[in-house]
Amino acid sequence: MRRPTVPEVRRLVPHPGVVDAAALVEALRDAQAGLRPFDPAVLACTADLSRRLRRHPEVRAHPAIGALAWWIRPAGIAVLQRHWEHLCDVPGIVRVPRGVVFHVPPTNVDTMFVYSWLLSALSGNANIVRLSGAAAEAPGPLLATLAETIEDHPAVAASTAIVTYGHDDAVTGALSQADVRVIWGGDATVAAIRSVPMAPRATELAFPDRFSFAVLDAPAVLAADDVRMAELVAGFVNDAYWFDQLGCASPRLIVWRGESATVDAASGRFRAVLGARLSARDEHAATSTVVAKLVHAAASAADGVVSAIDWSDNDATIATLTDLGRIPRDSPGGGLFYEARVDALADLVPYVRRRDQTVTHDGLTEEEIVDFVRTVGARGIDRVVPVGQALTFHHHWDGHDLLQSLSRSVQVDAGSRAAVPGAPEASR
Amino acid sequence: MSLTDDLSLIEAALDPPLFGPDQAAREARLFPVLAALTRHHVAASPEYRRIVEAMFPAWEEATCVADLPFLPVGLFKQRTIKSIPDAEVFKTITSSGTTGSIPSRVHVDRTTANRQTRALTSIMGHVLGPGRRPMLIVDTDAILTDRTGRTARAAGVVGLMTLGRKHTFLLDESMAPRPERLAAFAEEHAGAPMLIFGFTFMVWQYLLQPFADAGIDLSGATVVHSGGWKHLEAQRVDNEEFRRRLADAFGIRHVVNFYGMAEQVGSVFVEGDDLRLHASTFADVIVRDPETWQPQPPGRPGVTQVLSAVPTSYPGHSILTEDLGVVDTVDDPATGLGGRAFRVLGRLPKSELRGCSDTHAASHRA
Repeated sequence: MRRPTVPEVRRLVPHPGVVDAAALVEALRDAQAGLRPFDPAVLACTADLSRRLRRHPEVRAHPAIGALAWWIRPAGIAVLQRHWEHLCDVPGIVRVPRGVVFHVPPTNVDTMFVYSWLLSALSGNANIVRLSGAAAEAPGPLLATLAETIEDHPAVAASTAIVTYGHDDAVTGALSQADVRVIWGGDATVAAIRSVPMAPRATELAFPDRFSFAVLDAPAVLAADDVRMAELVAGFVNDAYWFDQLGCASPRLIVWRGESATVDAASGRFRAVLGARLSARDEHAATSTVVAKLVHAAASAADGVVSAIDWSDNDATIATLTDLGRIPRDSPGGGLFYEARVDALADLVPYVRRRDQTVTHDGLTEEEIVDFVRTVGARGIDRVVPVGQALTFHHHWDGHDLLQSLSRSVQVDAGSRAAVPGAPEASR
Repeated sequence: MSLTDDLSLIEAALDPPLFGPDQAAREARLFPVLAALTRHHVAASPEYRRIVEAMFPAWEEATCVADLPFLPVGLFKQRTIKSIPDAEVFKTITSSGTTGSIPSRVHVDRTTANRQTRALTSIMGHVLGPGRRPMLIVDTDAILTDRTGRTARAAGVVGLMTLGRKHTFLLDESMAPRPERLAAFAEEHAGAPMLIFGFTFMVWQYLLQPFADAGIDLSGATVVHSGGWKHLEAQRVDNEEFRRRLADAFGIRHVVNFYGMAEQVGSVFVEGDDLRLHASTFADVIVRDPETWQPQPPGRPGVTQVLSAVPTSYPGHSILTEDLGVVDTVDDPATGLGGRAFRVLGRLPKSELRGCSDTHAASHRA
């Protein structure tokens, strides 16, 4: 009888080589036993990674990596730790790690795998991170720096495996014997990986395709002085262009709030400043991308949802949307913006869909935002942040508190007269 | 201009002369036709009207061909855009496309089908002269009965078949060349004018590769081929090498490349003695600067736009292709053809844009 072949993966970090996928999960489970949430070993590794990335000469050319390095600096991690302590501050509950977490990060946002890994490691889990072949081969300082740093921290190295393998359900199945599976990717990716069973008690976090838009208050944009306007547009450019407008949080629609004439003036000013900012960049849309954007906008026009297409600037194609009920939520990326107008935020509510993730805003008050979010309710929207913050990672993502989802609540009750574990004094 | 005037203009557009007039005379004749076609499609297709209004709001002020609206060719993959009711659709032409990609679909009525045939016959008649020659087709006759749809490849073969007689298909159903057929064809028509047609890479792969050293005489043949050099680039075969190999292997001196597409069947651009492509008088080419989208001067590469008076059932009279091209000369007296002479330089390079978040599909393709 032929022995079934053992599913194997190529491990990139630590100790590059081919390893048995099932054995890898078990080895990580053993290594995890030595970790606690916010383990000093993980904190030291994180601080070291932040330092190395910030000192790396190439990182200047990769703003998204710079943002990552800043996000994981000790002061940033301290905020996470306070949040963790807050989560633990529940009488009768002890929070513990889940065990081994299997991450399938997205290919379109190449820093995401580090956030996914890090939040899980901070929660005390061991981690398997699956990179695509392209991501594993991609040049740039991130993966190499991460590899060096992890290898210098034995407890982290023992509980981490960054691997790559092609489309192979047998390998995915073996790695899915982990305790949590985290899938970042398109709807098709989520569906394909979900077809592979997990361990019976495993949980899954899925982050599928999303759509995001900006809401700009036209009077506020018109009233902004030139410095403020430049900041607004710079923030918008970061939101939209860092990942070729393919990040889930990158705006693809601009909703203006205001009267028609005000919006026309504000939009005109915004386009002019945006055009100048984009033309000053080193990177410009490839011709095939420009043509793909034209095709998309023209198809929307054919559908009767677009009345005008401004294609005078190859880097920012802007199509005037006439029907908020038929927002083209798919996108070729590369700087294609649909644009619409509402008199009031409430007018937008019926058109929000569950797929809608991030609203980047300018000129809205906290009260307006909270009211809007409450009114939208279950319809959609997971984040409302200022323009410029679309891609800033947060430990609340897509409606999940990641530290909470990557840990487990153990209920403890010692009986009526005993002290309650999990309370702050007991955890000391 | 009234709709009746427009219709008679469009109807007369395919009349001779096909070649000869200079660019100014060509433009003077073609501009009113293409403007009439634009008006026709704006009136007949709500989808087209909405696109034109969104992308080219000032088009009615156009005074030259370059100012008329165009559709990016990819649109025919995304939407059905036609100017005839469903009942009048005579056939649907799909582009073969690359494996896995969405094919283009254009809807053709009898009028457009007739115009396609007439256009192709008259252009090829110009190349081949009068009379129908014995014809060798470097393809399989299986594509004629292919029920999966009328692909551009099949449409090309069928269209060209009307130019020849005694059709011999070189390949069997499994795409294997049949040496006995080739030998019989060469022997039967030795010394006489022949016509050989095939897609460029198929002529290379199934005629030149297997039979280069077979000592077959096809010196009376004109080879007509199309489809681009993409498949041959890897083997470092360019147009000149291709022609030299045909001469060396079979004694073939007359080789004519043409450029055409599923979205403009019949309206082909043929290679002249200058080895450049030429428009007939009912068609034109504009190479556009990808920064400004304005027409490039000769010698400057850009994105190729093709214009044609042939299609009337769908707005394919002005199409922005995804091919890079360059106009080399205008009204070069040496050719006697008049108008622009251009070359196609290959597809627009695909950008590195990563498909929305698709970790799985990306790895699947890798």
